[in-house]
Amino acid sequence: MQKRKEWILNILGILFVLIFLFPVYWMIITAFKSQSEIFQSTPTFWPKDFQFTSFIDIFKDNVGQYFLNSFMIAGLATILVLVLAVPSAYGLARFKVKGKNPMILLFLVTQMLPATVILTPLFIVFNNLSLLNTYWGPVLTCATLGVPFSVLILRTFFLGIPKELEEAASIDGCGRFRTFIRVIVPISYPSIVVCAAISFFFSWGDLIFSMTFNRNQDLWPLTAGIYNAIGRYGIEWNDLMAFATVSVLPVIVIFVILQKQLVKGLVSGSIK
Amino acid sequence: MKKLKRISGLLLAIVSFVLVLSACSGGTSITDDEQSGGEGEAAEASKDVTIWFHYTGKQQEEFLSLIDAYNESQDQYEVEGEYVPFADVKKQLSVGVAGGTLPDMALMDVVDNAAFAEQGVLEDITSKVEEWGEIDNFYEGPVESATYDGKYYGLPVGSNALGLFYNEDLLKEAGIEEPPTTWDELKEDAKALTNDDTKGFAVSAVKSEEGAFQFYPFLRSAGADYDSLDSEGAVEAMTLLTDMIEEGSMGSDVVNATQDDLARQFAAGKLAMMVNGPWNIERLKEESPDMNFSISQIPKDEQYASVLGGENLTIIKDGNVDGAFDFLTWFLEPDRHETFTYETGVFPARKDVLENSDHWTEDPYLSGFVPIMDGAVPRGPSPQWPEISESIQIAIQESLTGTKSPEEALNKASESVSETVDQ
Amino acid sequence: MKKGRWGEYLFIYPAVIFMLLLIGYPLIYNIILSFQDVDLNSLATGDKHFVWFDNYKALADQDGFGISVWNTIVYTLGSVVFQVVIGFLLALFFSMKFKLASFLRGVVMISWLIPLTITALLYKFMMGSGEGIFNQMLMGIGFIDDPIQWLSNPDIALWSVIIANIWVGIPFNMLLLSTGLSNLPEDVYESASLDGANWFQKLFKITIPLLRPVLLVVLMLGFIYTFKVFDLVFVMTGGGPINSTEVLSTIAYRLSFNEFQFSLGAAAANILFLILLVVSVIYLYMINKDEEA
Repeated sequence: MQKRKEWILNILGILFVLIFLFPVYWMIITAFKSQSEIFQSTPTFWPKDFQFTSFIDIFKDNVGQYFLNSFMIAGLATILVLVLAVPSAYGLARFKVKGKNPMILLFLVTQMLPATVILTPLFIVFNNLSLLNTYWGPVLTCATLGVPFSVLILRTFFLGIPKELEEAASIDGCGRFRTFIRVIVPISYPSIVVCAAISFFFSWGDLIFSMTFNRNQDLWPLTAGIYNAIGRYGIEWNDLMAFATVSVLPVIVIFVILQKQLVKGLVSGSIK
Repeated sequence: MKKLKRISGLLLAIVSFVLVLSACSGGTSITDDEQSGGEGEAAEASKDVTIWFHYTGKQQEEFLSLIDAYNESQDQYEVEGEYVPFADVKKQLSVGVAGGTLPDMALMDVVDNAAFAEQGVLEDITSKVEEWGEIDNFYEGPVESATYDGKYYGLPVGSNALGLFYNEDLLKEAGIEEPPTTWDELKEDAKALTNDDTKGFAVSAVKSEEGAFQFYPFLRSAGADYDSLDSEGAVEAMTLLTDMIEEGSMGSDVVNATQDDLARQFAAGKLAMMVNGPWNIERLKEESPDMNFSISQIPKDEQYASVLGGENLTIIKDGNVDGAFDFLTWFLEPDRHETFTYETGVFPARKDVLENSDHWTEDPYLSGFVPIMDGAVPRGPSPQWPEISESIQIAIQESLTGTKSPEEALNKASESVSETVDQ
Repeated sequence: MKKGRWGEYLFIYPAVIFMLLLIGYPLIYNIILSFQDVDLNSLATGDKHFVWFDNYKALADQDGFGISVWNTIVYTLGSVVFQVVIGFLLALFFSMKFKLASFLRGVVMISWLIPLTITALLYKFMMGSGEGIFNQMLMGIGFIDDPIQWLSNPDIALWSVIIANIWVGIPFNMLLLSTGLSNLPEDVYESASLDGANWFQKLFKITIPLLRPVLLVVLMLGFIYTFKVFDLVFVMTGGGPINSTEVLSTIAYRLSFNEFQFSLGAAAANILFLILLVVSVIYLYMINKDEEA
């Protein structure tokens, strides 16, 4: 009886996931179709004429460079988020400092500005600091998405760690900072990984910051490459979907590698 | 309640803190930016000319190689092209103004030239143009698009217009010998060409400049214009397109289809006739080498009419004006202009070039556009074009989706246009 | 100030200052801008004068502004309600311990990981009225006779964009709610079972009340991220047809960067921000009440 229920649940789960992820399948499969096959009146769920020309086309289109840029921007932004958010979240969870609530409110509020609003003022600032046409424009702005999110998530996690742990460490003579590095960071590892991954994904999807702060195409991420490809040829669905597939793959790979930690981190960590 | 009060008090504290912060940096904002932005340029002001352009593909290649050729041809100026995607041009120019990081020249869509001139971004080059003395060799329409308030704010560097593309094979199958020339014929033929697989006709009615662009020939053919949207002619033009959707010979998804989308459907044989421009010819040949298609005038009501598209090169205020103008005139010399426009599948802005060359008249496709170019008029021109255009776009969409009758939609648009113009 | 205190501030402040500089400054800039009369001309010359609330009045008269506020609310509520409900049901489903549960729960996350620009293009592709796969399949199974004009019918377009957004948001809601579910004490359920409570009673009497804090956070985050949506609408419909999918962020963008009415654009963005601010203060108030209780 129990076994049958297990079977049913597994099958139901698989069925649901298959339906839910159909758009992703459709994206990948379209990338391998010819333009005329896409326009057929009866859709083909498997390409009749499996072809790689779309992928070859986009690799001629400097996809490697875009890829590298996406990695640099997302990677640097993630590092910045961790450096800023982890200590801050810890401080807000543990210390009795003045103005704690307004600071939490600040992090909540700063998530609310639509991206388009900050373009012009930040352009002026970055121009003054000579940060236009460098990785730093998109890196700094992408970090503003990850920092508040991570502070809020990590704070609730830190609140859940028993204080005895740090007290024991401080008896051992550890300073506050060393306690933080030696004791807190290691046990919060799963939650930190979650925040890192989410910050990475936030930045990986950025389009508007890179396009606004960097006119230099050599610094554009994959999303900008796709956006630009539309403007150039109109939408050629197979090429576009090939581009999309390539840009989604690494995120999926990262996710699969970290999947256990991510799910565990979110499940054990987040909001209380 | 107390808590709320405290929160709002703290909120005030934050805001005032930020205010102090921004006051420190805010003082250095606009005016200083220009100075600091200008500093780098000022050092080499006599030499460097930066151009923002949105050319892609073949046009980009040709344009960049011409820039190289110009740089090699003389030592006085050094031109550098910077690519800015078309969809981003306006945004980049406006943040550029705010940040004081503008180029010396910018390529822009013909309809935007007047608006940017009115906003004080562009240099008045009237005296230079008069001194140059070549302007009479240009077509009137394109030149008009580069003027505002009787002064020159740029020069046209390439033109195009809209024509009727038709699939000869599909017409033949439906027993139609000649492409339609009047609105009645268009309606009839489109109906005959429509079946389960294929739509007879399409215009792009998307909510962007493309939609307004594509509607303009119909508007003008009926003797109306943007300032007479409530006229009988305008209503007839709108009624024509709306009827064709109701009859099913035009798909109702045209309100979401760009000109490129139409070209793709046309190439796939899903569309028998469409309104489109010469820039799509190469692509149609490439995508469907076996298809026989041809180009003719857009069917008429009172007279044949088409609408001008294309680009102007403009010079930005306070930049390296001399260098920019020198490059501009070099770029527009007849031979160079001929090669650049022909090689990239558009039309020259200079009359003397088109008249003395048989490139366009002999090309089987481009030749279809030669008579069209003659009757093509610019949109506006008006510094308020972006707002006017939006009123037109909305009227088109309201009418084509059946939300409003053609008359209601156009009356509303007419009101908002006159409000805009009166401002 | 005690020496130890400085160390404490060193933990907290870098992130705070970072956010104040990068977001606080634009926020203030935008508020000031919305009270001035600024177009490209005055932006270049620096000659901005204050017109105070004129922009807000002009905005209220703007064609399409009223509908954009309404659309933003419908879009947000529609998206959040379905995301949370479906996410919650999935979380419940995957919380039953079967072999593939955690694997499948992970795989579902893919839809959340795809950059929004791409998701938008993908849905635009699938929602094409003629060749789009959605219509092809629905017609294939006989569910509909005529193709649905997903993105070109003004009555439907907004819901089409909402569907895409729900798809994007389900996994995130599911994960956060799974987290909450896994933290619920099991003994309560055991005693409830002993009392003969059925599945529904347990759900509404135990699970949902206990999950309240997590639900609040999920609703709040969902609200924020949906309310300020830009990419999805901009790429899928550009606000059309007519104004049927215009939302506050797209109208702010259009006013600023298409029509150069920067002050009007800033005013629209501020209204968006103000609504979010009010909602989040209410949220904080509710959290505080929870913590006090």
